[in-house]
Amino acid sequence: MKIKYGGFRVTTLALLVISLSASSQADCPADLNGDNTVNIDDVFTTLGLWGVCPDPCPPYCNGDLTEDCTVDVDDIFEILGEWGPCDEIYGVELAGNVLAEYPYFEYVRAFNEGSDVHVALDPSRFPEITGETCDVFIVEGKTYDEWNSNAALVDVTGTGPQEVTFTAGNIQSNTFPISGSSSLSSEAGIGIGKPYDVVLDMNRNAILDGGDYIDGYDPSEGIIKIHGMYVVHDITQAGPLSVTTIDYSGGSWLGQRTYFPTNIGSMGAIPLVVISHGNGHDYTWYDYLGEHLASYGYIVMSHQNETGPGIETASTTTLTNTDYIIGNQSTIGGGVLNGHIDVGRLVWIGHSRGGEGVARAYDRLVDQSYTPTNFTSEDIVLVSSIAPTDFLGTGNSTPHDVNYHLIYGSADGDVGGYPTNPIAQSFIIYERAEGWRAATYVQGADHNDFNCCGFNDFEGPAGTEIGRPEAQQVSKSTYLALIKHFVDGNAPAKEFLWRQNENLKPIGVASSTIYDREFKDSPASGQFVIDDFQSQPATTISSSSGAVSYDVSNIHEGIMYESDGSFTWSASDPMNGMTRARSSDPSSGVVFDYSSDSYLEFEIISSERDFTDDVYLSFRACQGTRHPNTVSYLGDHDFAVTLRDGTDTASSIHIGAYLGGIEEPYQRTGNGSGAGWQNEFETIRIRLTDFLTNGSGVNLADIEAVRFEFGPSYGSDEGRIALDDIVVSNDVSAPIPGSLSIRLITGAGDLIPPGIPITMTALISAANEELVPDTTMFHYRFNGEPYTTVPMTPQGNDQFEAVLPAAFCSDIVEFYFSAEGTESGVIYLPLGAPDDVFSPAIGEMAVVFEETFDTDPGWSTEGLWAFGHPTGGGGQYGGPDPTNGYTGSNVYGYNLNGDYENYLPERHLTSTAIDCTNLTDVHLKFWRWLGVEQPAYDHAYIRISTNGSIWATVWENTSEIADEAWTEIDIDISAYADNQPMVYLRWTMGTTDSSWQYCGWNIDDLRLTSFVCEDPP
Amino acid sequence: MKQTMMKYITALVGILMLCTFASSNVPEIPELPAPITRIVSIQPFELEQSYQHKWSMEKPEVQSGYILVLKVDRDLVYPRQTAEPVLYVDKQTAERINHGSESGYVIAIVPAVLKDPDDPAYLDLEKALIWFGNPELPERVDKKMIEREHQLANSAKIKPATGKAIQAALDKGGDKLTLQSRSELDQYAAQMILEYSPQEEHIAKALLQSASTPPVESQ
Repeated sequence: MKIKYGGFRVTTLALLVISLSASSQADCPADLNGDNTVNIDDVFTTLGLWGVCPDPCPPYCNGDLTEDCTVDVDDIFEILGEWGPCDEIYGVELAGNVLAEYPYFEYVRAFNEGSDVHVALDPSRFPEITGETCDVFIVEGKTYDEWNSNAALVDVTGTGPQEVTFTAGNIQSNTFPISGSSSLSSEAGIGIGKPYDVVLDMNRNAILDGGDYIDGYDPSEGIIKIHGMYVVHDITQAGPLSVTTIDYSGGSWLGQRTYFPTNIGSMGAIPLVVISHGNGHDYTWYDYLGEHLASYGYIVMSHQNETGPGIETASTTTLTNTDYIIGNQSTIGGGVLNGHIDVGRLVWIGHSRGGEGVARAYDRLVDQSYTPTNFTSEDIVLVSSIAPTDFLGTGNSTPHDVNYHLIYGSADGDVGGYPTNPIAQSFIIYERAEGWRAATYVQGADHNDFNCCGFNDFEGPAGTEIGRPEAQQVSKSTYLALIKHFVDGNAPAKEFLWRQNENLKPIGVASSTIYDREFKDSPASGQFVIDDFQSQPATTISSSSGAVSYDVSNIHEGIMYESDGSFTWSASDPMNGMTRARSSDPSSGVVFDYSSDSYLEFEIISSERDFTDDVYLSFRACQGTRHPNTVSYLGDHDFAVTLRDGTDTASSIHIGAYLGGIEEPYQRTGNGSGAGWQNEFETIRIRLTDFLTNGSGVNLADIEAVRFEFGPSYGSDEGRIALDDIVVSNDVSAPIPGSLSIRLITGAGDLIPPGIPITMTALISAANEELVPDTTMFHYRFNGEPYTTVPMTPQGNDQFEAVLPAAFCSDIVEFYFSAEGTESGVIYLPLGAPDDVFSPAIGEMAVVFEETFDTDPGWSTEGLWAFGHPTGGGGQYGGPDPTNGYTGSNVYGYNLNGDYENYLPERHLTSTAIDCTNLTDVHLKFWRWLGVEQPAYDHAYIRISTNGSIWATVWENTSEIADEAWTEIDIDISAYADNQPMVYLRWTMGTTDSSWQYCGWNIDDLRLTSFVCEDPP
Repeated sequence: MKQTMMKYITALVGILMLCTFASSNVPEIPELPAPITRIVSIQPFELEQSYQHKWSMEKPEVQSGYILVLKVDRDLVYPRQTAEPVLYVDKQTAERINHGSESGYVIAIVPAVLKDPDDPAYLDLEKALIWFGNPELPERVDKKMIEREHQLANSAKIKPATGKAIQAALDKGGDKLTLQSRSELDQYAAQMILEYSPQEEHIAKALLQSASTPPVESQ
């Protein structure tokens, strides 16, 4: 038997009926139109494809069944020979756990060793199984090629295949414990999880063939081998490799302790994990982590970290030490590491100041203020911080789009999450991460529990201290899962990053230990974000532009930052307990409370209502600390999530069904009255097919609304809840380093001009595999028509070119790229394509308002603001004023003849009203010459208003500014100015303190730009 | 000046409130500015190769200065990840080589010109205030902040050490060290850690190892 899949993915639709229709291309190759029957329609399809295949002949020439590079009568004969229904193998989810309430069963992949595995099929989703008796096989996980070469079923439970009979009714009556499953081996070498596939052998012939159901059988041929299930050993325990440790130094602040597998000489290049300690800590304090990770096949280097002066020096030592070990691997330890460091797979872990230092180090790579000798930013696969500080703030300590992780102890007495001090709020850096990200919040752990020897800084209620050994059990297992997933693409490890701790925790972690997990896919995954609460501040509109309705009480949407410096509940601080952002950060969410049945509902916009290609509904939630509702209902919080389709059919699931609701805040006291520390977000991911259980009837192809329901009828009686990041996830994982990737060098951008073909160049390359020839493809379509696929043109040096035909203003353009790797199979750009594609707007940004300041526009001025010719005066600090405008001689400036004053209150320059009616995507652009001391002392602002009385700050100095030339500024003011009839702009000088004067504001050549589109004649 | 002082008082009150609310194993930061307990040892040094003083925003190149041993209130130097009190010597920040939270002894390096009183970087030990100022990252402390902290120290009536105490410390420290580089200075500082703050042997060992050329390795 020859079985091939053509583009199958484990998505919702596939779970509904994994009929493998695409198998028509191989298993049933004559079924050209994929209707699972070889019939006259396929003859007609062949006639439509008639002729010679392209030259050179591609690997898959549609219709060429005889593979002679011609679609001809021989292919018709092939079709006639295959006439009739195709045999099908059904790919389904089978293995999972029993739940006490609806949906009564959860399909999962990771099972701890010794756990019972259950198999279930819902007859309402698979009615054809009713009355069928079959054999359940749990077999060693096989790759695609292995299944193709050997389809024999060999059960490994030790009790033989298990006979089961499916009946009419519900999923509960069709759920079966698998005998012997608790004895399955977890032996996975240096990996996590021994893979198994689960098969329902319907014709009971011990062969995987037509009519059978399988959970596994990865069709992607990728490095991530998605098998039906994995049995996971105790990942707190050391791995199978013995470990050698060496200490050495390359000079000042280059002292290093490195752990590596003793048999590294027999290994190839393996990833490098770098550990950067915190202030007053030592690089020899992380043996527990270094030895653990090295025993699983990693090189781990912990280095001296210069944290005393601050974060910049700490980040420098992370960078220089990484450079040093890579650049000196031929001599370190007598050359034992030489050739064994996989520079393309680097991980940085930092603790406290070092935790901020690693984020800052990555930021410096991105902004190119530091250029390493031996690696690049793209080699950093993962950055993780243990209880980091946030000294440097917005724009400086940011992980950008690198995969990022945070681990934090709720009883931290140092970087304690204090509401008075954002420097001590570790989650701020986590919130800035824009790639895939995960967080682990460990109740009862303190700051120094994550090293061997720091002082005991525990702050928390008596009896809740879990202690250093237990905290390190969590740390070891979390880091192992984290690195195995992000660096090696390990599939079951991912579940240790997002399933609630009540649902899955490592065997060696005490059952009483509580920790909260957050997990968020990158926007690059192609997920649909229903509401991230950031781009649309109104409570009645989601960020995806759908309507939001509710009857919960005291709803508030905004930046998640602690504004009053106290955890005491106060209605004037609705974001109480939200130590997630500074006021200058964008991280936003929604908070509300209730004490009776209430709801919050998100409309799904019409273009995104088909959920069938997605896997999870994902969101995060937390309880509001010390709120009266939280206090009076102290405990895990439960509520219902409902999907409603276009016919008003609905299906609801209690989040508590998956064990554990939303955790109550750790009952630490201080920083106000009452008990309860910072709010603890947890991610909830509900498999979309769970909403179909037992014939709910909801149509996943037409979801009209996602509704959250609270109160006595739906879970907890009362509560104060925050929600954020409500997304429909396709569960696309982060790219595996070294595998084939597509990166645009020159792309279309967010805007393409009308009437002009666009040439795009992509870099398509891989370090650890080969590109399959002739598989680089460009797919595009206009206005929802079927995609046109054309080969990309090789340009040399792994670069390939594609041309997007000219589009016009009324067009909707969508495109994506694909290529095939020898290991990864077919990969896409964007990663989530073809569900998630590039769709630039057609048009351009045009100047819609201009003020050159050649003549006085008559704006309102205060203090020394004036229109005129700057004279080059001032400059006690930071340099003098300009001597001319950017163009012409005149500007608006604060004191055209010198510096601003000491003890200056705010002094404003305010524009006249500007009409922005019918404008979209409005930007403010102007040329600036500014001198101002750092904001600890002196201030400069740009503000905007639509009524002249209420002002929003859109820019302020975050450091000293000492312009020595005119600098162009571009600020997105669309959130305030789009379609507004009156827009006022304001530049503010001040306040200033008692000394150090600078030249202040000078502005020239102001423009407002907006999106416009006009087709060429 | 009144406004500036109010700003600092407000900040200080905030810090004290934080410490008050956070009952913990971590000691509260004592009231600031705070004097050192006493100068134990002072030793001048000169280097052939300069190095960068990273403990201030301006990061001056250093070719000479003093290595100090200071007896301090241990709570002032308890290792914290959030901002710690900054150690100032006259118009400069000092580089703390160790923490000293167990021993109560801090070994610190102060960049200074040794002989030319007209040089702005000259340090007159008998007139110099030595104190712990408001918590901050030293790499963010600029000249202006040093001036303000100096004013606050004066306002708090922190006084220079007596001439007698300075002389005793100089006697204890010994003759001027003439060294090749910072690396040699580190070796010297490591010995002082072992002598005055042996609980921090790991810092001394790291300094000794880093200062070794060529790189050393130990199994």
